[in-house]
Amino acid sequence: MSSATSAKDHPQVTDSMLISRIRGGDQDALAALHDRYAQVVYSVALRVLGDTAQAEDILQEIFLQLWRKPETFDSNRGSLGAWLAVIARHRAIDQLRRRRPELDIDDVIIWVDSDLEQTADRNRAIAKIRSAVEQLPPEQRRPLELAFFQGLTHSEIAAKTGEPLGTIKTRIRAALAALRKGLAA
Amino acid sequence: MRDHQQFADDLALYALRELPASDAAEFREHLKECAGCRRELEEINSQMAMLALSSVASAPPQRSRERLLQAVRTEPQRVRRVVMHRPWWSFVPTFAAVLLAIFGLMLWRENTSLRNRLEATQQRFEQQQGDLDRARLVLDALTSPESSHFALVSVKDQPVPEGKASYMRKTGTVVFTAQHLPPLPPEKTYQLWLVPASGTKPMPCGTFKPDTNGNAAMVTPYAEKDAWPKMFAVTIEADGGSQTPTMPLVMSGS
Repeated sequence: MSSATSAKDHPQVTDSMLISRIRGGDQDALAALHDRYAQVVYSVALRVLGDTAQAEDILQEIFLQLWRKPETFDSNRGSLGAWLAVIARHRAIDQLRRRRPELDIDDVIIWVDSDLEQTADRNRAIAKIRSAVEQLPPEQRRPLELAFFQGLTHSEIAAKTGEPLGTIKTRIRAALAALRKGLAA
Repeated sequence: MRDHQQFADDLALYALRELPASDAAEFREHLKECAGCRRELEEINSQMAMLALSSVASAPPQRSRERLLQAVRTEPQRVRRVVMHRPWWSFVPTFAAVLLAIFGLMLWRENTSLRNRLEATQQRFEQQQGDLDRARLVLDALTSPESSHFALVSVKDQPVPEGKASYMRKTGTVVFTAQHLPPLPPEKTYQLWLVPASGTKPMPCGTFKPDTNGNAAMVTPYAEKDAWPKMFAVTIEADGGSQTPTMPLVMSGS
């Protein structure tokens, strides 16, 4: 039985354990993490880029980076699943803007209340988050999604929506806060 | 320079990576010092993670897993080598190589030290050999039956300088000692002359200056050979000596 199968069948194998094994050069551990989070990374990249081939490239690039520099992620810095989701977004935006990836992604610290390591819990958490996003007022949700998934700057959003720049800033902050509040409820 | 409130207002822009590189760098510096902004940024990142997770829907193509593993297999084995626990005996060749290098270095240093000591000994030997040759010349000039000896006295009564010159014809060596010599004027020197019996012009045999007690000693190893001196004389000359004696004579002896 391979280690990957073992990790998949035994969800008590935590992300930290798998990262530790990757540090030891265990390819099966990387495969197990891929099984766990490939869908997260791929979906976020696809949402931003709208192109399956490019999204697959981002997926490959991020997991290869995890293989080459597993120390980039430290379990003390939060949840691996959430971290990968945000890193996928940043890399996809970089790709969209045709700019070089920034090197400071490791300063991203993300704590989430939900358990994302186990498939069932992860699916439940994602459904809950999606519901919270859908409940955001449209005037808050739209600028947030334009900024986050389309990589538009606040100024570009202001020009696109005809709203003042300050209003866009306020609405995006309010949307993020409302999202947090909605999930905490 | 922006103040804290300006940084705080733009935290979302920073988290969304909308800031230009220069502003982002300034932001990072501020974050190092501002715990409040760090906490707020973590909060915003968490909210953004949720937003990202809300888009999870599509599974990647099945081939992506194999593609990743294929790429990993072609990666350099750096990670594995760095973190793998190696058995103790795998370090033996490295340890042996280090020991060999240390031993080689010690040998090299010992060799260098011996070579330096040998060179120093050779230099001392050559110097002592030179001293010995010089002493032998002096001794020969003073004791050889072939040497002729001359006692020089002052041509005036006071002061009374005295000198002794020994000449060895075979080698041309002249040994000269003197006492009670008056101090020299500035930029002047005493000069010893060999006055040939043939009546030809005097031959210079070296210059010398007395010590504060008026004593002087001089050895001229290779003066004129095979000369028949009528007398030796001493004059005062300009520093560096002269080719012809300047009168008056300080002392002379035949």
